Amino acid sequence: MRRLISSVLREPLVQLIVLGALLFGLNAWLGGPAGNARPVIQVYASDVDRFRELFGLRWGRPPTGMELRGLVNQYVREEILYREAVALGLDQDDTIVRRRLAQKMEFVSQGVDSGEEPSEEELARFFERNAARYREPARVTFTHIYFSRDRRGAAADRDAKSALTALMDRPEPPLRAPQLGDPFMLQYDYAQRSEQEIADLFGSDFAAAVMGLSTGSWQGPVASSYGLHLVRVSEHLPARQPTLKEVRKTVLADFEEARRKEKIEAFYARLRKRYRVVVDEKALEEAPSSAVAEVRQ
Amino acid sequence: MNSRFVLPIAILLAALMPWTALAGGKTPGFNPQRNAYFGDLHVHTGWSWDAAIFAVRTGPEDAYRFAEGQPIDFVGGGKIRLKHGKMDFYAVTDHAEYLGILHRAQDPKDAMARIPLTQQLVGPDKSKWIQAFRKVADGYLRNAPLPELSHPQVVRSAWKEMIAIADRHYKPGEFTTFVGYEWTSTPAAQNLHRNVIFRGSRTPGAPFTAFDSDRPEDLWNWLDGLRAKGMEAMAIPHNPNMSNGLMFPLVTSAGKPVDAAWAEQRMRNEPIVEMTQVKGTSETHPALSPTDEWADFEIFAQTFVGMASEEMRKEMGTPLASEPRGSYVRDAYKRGLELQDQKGFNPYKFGMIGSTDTHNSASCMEEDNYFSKLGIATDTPQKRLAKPPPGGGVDFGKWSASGLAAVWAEENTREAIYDALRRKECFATTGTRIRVRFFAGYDFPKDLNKHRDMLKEAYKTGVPMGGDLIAHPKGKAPRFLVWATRDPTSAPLQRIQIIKGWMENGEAKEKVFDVVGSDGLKPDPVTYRIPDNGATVDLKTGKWSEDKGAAELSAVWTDPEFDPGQRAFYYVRVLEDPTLRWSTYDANKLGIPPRADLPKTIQERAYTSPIWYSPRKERG
Repeated sequence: MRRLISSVLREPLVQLIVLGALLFGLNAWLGGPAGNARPVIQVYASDVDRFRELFGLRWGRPPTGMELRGLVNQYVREEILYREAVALGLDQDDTIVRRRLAQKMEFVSQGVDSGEEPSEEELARFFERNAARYREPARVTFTHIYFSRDRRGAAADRDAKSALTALMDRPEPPLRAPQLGDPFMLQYDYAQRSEQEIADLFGSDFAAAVMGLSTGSWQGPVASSYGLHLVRVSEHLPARQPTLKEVRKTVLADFEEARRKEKIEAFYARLRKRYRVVVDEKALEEAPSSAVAEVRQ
Repeated sequence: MNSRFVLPIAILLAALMPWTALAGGKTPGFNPQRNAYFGDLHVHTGWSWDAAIFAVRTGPEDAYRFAEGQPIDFVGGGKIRLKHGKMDFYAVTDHAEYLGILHRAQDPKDAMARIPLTQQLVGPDKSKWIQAFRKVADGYLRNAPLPELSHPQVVRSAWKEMIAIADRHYKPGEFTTFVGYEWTSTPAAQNLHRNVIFRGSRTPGAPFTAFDSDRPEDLWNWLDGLRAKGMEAMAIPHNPNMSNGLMFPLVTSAGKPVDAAWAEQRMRNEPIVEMTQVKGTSETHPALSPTDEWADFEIFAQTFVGMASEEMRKEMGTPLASEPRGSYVRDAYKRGLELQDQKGFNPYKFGMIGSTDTHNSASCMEEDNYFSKLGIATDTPQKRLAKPPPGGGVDFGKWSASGLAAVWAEENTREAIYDALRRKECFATTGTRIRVRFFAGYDFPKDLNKHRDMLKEAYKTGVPMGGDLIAHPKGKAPRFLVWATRDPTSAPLQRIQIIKGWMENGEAKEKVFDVVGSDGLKPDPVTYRIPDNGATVDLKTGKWSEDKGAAELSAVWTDPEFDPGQRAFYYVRVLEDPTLRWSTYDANKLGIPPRADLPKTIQERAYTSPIWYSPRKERG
């Protein structure tokens, strides 16, 4: 909390508000502007440095003495107008100011502890809690022979079946045999593909069917979006849980995002506790006004 | 050798192929006959100034994760992800001008956030947003960078980081990333944009921006200079449809007639054109191709005048409607034939690709998964379908869920894919993964499309898409091999067409030939038209008729009007059966009728790079 307060206090806007409030109080205590102590606007060396830096970023060179003086005058002018605006309460009921301040507050909450790497333990716990997210899908390696319905028409099915019989009759069926079928636009051999990846290439029915084939023999015909295929699966890799080491980079990024969100929520929850919120529940239950209903259409 | 052993040995050898290929330093899946790979070479993230203004916060890291199939944050809340398969290759091409500045300005703690103009653009106070946006846009159109947003060291560091991110996501054999950026030249609101794509990650310290020069010739000089230092890159023009005739001109930026040196330099640096994307398709325009029944397709013939201030519009005097001549690829190919015949050079012998131009870090070419491309300007169906107020604004309803870049390459690596783009062995699609092969040769058998090893033969005795066919010594007519397959996640194919352009009496002509149709439908010998196959699509569910159309179509075709003395080009257009246009899906989501002024359905298509035929004599 101390770090939070200190980081809040480091925000220039917060500094200004606090300073403004102090000066305002001091001014009132001293009897208003008629008093002999007029409010002070102090331009510090750090302010001047900032003006220099901004000018340099913008123009690619340091400002001249006159330009720097101009920036100071501009700052003083803005400061005076700002303080008077606050004194008049112009910041109240201003949606933009409110939203901006609320947004700054969220940024302040995020800034706490930022840049700190999580410990291995923290990361491992996060990884375990979200294990399902990192699970790798089952994969299959297969080769196929293609029988085009566009080329063979109704004969495609019969041709595929008789090719399968011929393959089975061989004492040692070949490991791949694309030449027994039609030329195929995509590849004949696919290594370690997931069901989703196969579906993107061949259609989902084919993908589901191939995932269910046993290894080591020619099977089919299996229908795809292109036609019929005899398929030989040589390898099934079951779905597996990777180790943290393998997916560390992704887990770390997810962890940091989760932490950022948690922090904002926790920060808000702490603030929320300080308030008692009273909502007119009856108003919430009333039928929507006609204006709202119109927008919905 | 006993013939009984030949087959098993051949099979054994074939089975060992992948491993021997690996041993030679090649990646798995290496195919000497080349595989089709699909990608997007035009992707903006929140690091582009305009994307940041439209509240996009995702960056290159998110973009590559999206391309690999993972969900990423969407500007309107929630997540977006690819529905119909991940990308094989991807290039983040953020605008080089003001690169990364407004992205950094979104963080209130960054120095860039302390500049009042950046806060008007990306801060929560939107009261001065329009004025601020116009100020940046006007500066762009005047090619006068705003000092408030000019921070070269920020651009350099963002550029360095983009390269590092691209390198990190590159997985040879699985997923290829390219280092790239967009050179955003928009003189007087006319689009001359190019994406610069590097072959490797050896790149200069900073990109050459439109603020350095808005003349394409200066960009080419810069690229030539890089090449001399061993840094290979190309520029890819996009949206010629919005160039008001400037993309494929007959005069240089300096107003002189184009010449041989200009043509050579252009071709060296711009071998391909992105001709279909969200802001319309630039194949041809109905006014240019009145006899092409498919020419009125996803047309967006506007300049950028709509984004300028009133004052700037008067100053420029550019019309909103973009002049079709010089703005479409078919017209450019024809100009190229004329220049070649009349002056002996052709600056317009380029190949075709599609891409999206998304500004959400995420390709948006899927009709049934379309989230448009411009951050909070187009994040809901209501906004995408809204008609602009009279006299101004962009009609987002006319934007397209398009497109994809596709290449025929031996393997999924930077080198193989880049080299395929360079030799123009590439094709464009309007968003689906139609695969199409196209070859020409004199010795192709009439039934080559039925041969099992047709590809091997075609490569051996012919030229693939993007190639040149020199006249046969005896004036023989070439044969063309075409072969296309459907996208398994979209409708079947309806027809394959060949579009021919040729020189006749000193003038370039064009004609569309239907070559092969689905459902056994044949071309009419006089009109060359294949009748419609009657395929339909349900306007509510999007379900298409699976009983019509073909999973694959192929043919060996001879030009019935071939004249060996006429210079010509031929390219292929493949048409799918109709599916629902994104705007109909969006209307269905809202439960409202589709907009009457927009097409309800779309025939997704693929376009190959042409094959050019040169007659024996210089002049035809």
